[in-house]
Amino acid sequence: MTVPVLSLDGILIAPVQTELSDEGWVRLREELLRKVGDRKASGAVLDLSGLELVDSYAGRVLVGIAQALSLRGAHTVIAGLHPDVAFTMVHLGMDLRGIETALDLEDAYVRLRRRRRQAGRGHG
Amino acid sequence: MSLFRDAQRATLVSPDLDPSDLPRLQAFWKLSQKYDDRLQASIREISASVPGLAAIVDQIAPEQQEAERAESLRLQDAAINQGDWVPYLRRMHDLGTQYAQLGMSFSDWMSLAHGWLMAIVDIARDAYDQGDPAAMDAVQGANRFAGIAMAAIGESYLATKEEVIVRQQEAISELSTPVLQVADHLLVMPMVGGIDTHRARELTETMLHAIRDRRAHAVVIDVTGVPIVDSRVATHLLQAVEAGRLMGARVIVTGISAEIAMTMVSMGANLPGVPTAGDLQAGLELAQRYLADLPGGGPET
Repeated sequence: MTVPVLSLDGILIAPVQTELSDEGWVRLREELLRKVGDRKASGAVLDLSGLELVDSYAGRVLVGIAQALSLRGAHTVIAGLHPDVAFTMVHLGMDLRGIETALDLEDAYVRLRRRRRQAGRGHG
Repeated sequence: MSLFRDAQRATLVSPDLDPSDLPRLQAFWKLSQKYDDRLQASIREISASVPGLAAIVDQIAPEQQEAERAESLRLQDAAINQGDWVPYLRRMHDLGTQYAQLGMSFSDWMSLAHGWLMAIVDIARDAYDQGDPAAMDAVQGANRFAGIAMAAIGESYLATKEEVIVRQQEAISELSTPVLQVADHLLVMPMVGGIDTHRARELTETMLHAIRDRRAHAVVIDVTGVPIVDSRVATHLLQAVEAGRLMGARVIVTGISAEIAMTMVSMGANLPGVPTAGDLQAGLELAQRYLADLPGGGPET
């Protein structure tokens, strides 16, 4: 299962509809890194609303994605985590404190747009 | 001696009787039949003298009481004299459930059972005085019979009471983890009472589902009404805050009293990185400032 990475006005959107294998997560990371350069993206939304489970490997990959994208000038937001998934992740002791979060894709996208606007004003 | 093949599903089995049990049970049966009127009068007296029982008996119409008594006797007969115990035990099982549902107290039920046995002993004593050779056997048979009946009634009585308690606990739980939506995207959870692991879990699950269902971006958990906030509770709160954050919500904890704050710090149980505020009001203001800063969180621009 390959996750399509879409680009909308300088923000990447990766809708994760089903569970990914370890390799699937790695491919997603590679695709995001590639596209962030191609599209000169300033942000990326990982929509995780299709996941019933986020295991510790996936958790580490997510943190790695956020760090790598940040090095390339893009801010990452994960969105759409289901209540039960969030609960389990915390009780398994997963540490995702380095990543910004949002309730859903729309919230995340709007937040990244505003962030870019503010950054733009700062440079203006 | 368990009368249930499978306690969970209450499948009734016939009691294990010794060789000496059957003649004694039959002696009891004969005696109780012979002195039926007297036995019924004694039972009526007991029911009238115990207030809890009188209230329950009054709820049943006399004709129905008579019909039920006749049915009970028929089943007792089948059990003792034909060895067909299951229908009688099933009836006792139903009686136990009924008693519990009607709110009969355990001590009232004991009064009834004890009173019945004492009435039989009285009757047997008189029978003995009149030269009845089976009087002693009848008393032993009554004891055995009472043991069997009370086991069946008791197990279902207790099982029903437990069910009632579980349902009440669930209702209390629902009342005790309220989620109030006080503004768009802002929830408040006023906690009252101790927070053990079970309740913390409920609190977190309720909060997370509410965040999604009501599209909350901020939650204020107020622990003013929580008497003890120790390191375990602090851990639970930390987990709730982080789980809320994973769903994009900012979780603020308010209401930690000065005393509790000092205790927590001395125990190393502070809440690192968790936004807190002195009281609920301050917490709400903090939340509203946070929401106003969010894109789309304040009034539409």
